[in-house]
Amino acid sequence: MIKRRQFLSAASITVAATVCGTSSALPFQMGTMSPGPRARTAKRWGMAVDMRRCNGNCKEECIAACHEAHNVPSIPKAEHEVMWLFEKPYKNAFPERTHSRISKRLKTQKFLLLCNHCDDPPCVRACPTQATFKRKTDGIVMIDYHRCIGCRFCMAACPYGSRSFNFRDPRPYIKKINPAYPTRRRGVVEKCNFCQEILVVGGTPACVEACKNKALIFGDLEDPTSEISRLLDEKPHVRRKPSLGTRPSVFYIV
Amino acid sequence: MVNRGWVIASIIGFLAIATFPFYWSLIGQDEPLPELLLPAGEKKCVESKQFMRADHMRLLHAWRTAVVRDQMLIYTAMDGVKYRMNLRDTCMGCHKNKEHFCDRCHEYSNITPPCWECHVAPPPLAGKKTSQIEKETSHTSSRARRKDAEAQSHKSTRTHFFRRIIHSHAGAWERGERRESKPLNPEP
Repeated sequence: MIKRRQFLSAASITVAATVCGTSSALPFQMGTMSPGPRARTAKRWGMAVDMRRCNGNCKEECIAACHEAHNVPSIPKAEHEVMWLFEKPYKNAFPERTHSRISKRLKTQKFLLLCNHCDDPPCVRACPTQATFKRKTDGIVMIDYHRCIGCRFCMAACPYGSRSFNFRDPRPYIKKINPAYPTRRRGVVEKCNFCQEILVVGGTPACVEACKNKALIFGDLEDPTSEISRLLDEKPHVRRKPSLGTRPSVFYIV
Repeated sequence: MVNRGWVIASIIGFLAIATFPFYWSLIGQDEPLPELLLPAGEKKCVESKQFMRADHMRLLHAWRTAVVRDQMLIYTAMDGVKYRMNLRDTCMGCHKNKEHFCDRCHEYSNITPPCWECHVAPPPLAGKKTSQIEKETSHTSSRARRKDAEAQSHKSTRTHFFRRIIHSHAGAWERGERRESKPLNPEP
C-alpha cells in the first residue's frame, strides 16, 4: 500500500509534467509595422477658414464632401443629427465676441465650424477610456471607435459643440456608403478627424479640396514656410473662445 | 462502506458525465467542419495557415492599434512581404466573400465578431441578398437541416423556444436583422 503522501507527490509531478509537456512556451511572434511612404507629416496640423471667401454663394460642397467621404448619416430629427462640419451664425460661433453693434456682414454670414483639434483639448482629459486621444506626432485629436463606450463625457467637455453622438444606428441614414471608410455604430461619439486617413496616403482633406472658393487652407502651423503660416502672419484672424485656454488649431480670417 | 455498490456506481456515473466534453469529440458523431471557400489563384495569406488559424484575431487587433493610434500603414510579414494594413482592401480583397469564408467558421463556433457593425462588408455574391445566399448554399450539416425543419414546422415546444434564444445565428447583424430600422438602400 502506498502512503497518501507518496500518492499525492507522484500525482502532482505527473500532472505538472503533462501540463508543461503539452503547452507551448513560444511567445507570440508577428511582423513589423511602418508608416506609409507617402504619409504627410507635420508638427501641428491647422486650418484657416477665410471668411472673406467663405461667403455662402456655394452649395456647401465642403460639408457634402466631408460627409460623403466619411459615411456621416443625415438624420432628419435635429436632436439626433450627426455633423462633422457645419454652419452656424456669428453669435453661436463666437459668443465671447458678440455684441449689439457687430457689422451687418457678420450678422448674416454663416461660419463654418468643425472640431478645433485644440492644443490642450478638454475632451482628451475627460475621456475615461482614452478613446479620444491627441496624437503626439501631428496634434490631431482622434477618436478610436473601438474603445469608445459612448459615455459622452467628451461632449460635455468640448466647449465648441463639435462632437455628435450616434443616438441610433447610422447605416439606414447614409445615402451612399463609401466602402473605403467604415461607418460608426450606435452609441459612439464622432467628429472631424482632419481626414487623417487621407493624410496618411498623401492627400488633402476632403473639405479643402471641395471648396470652390478656396476658402479653406490646411497646413502645418509649426512650419514657417507653409501657406497657412504665411497667411496667419499677414492677415488678422480670430479663434473660438480663446479665453478658455484650449489653444484651437482652426483660425478664422475675418 | 455502507452502500458500497451505489456509491461506486454514482462516482463512475458522475465522472462519465463530468468528463463528457473531453471524450465526446473523440468518439461521438460531431458536426462536419465547415468548408471554406478559399480565394482562387492565391497560394498564401499574409501569414501562414497555422498562424492565421490560431492568431488571426490577434493580428487584426495589432493592426487596428497600429493604424488608428500609431499612424502606421504598412505591415511587413514574417516572410518579408509588405501589405497595407486594411481589413477591406487587404483581407477582404482576397477573401472576397465574407459569407463563404468568415461566417462559415464563425457560425460553426457561434461567435459574432463585431467588425462589420462599422466596417463596410464587401457585397455578397452578385445579384443576391445575403439571406438568400445562405439558404441556397448553406452548410448541409445536420444541425442546419434540423434548424430549417424546425423553423418551418413552427414548433412551439419549450425546447424549440430555448433553442431559438440560445443559438443566435452569426451574421444576423450583417443581414440587416436586429437593426432598428430597415435600410433605405441595399448594400452597394
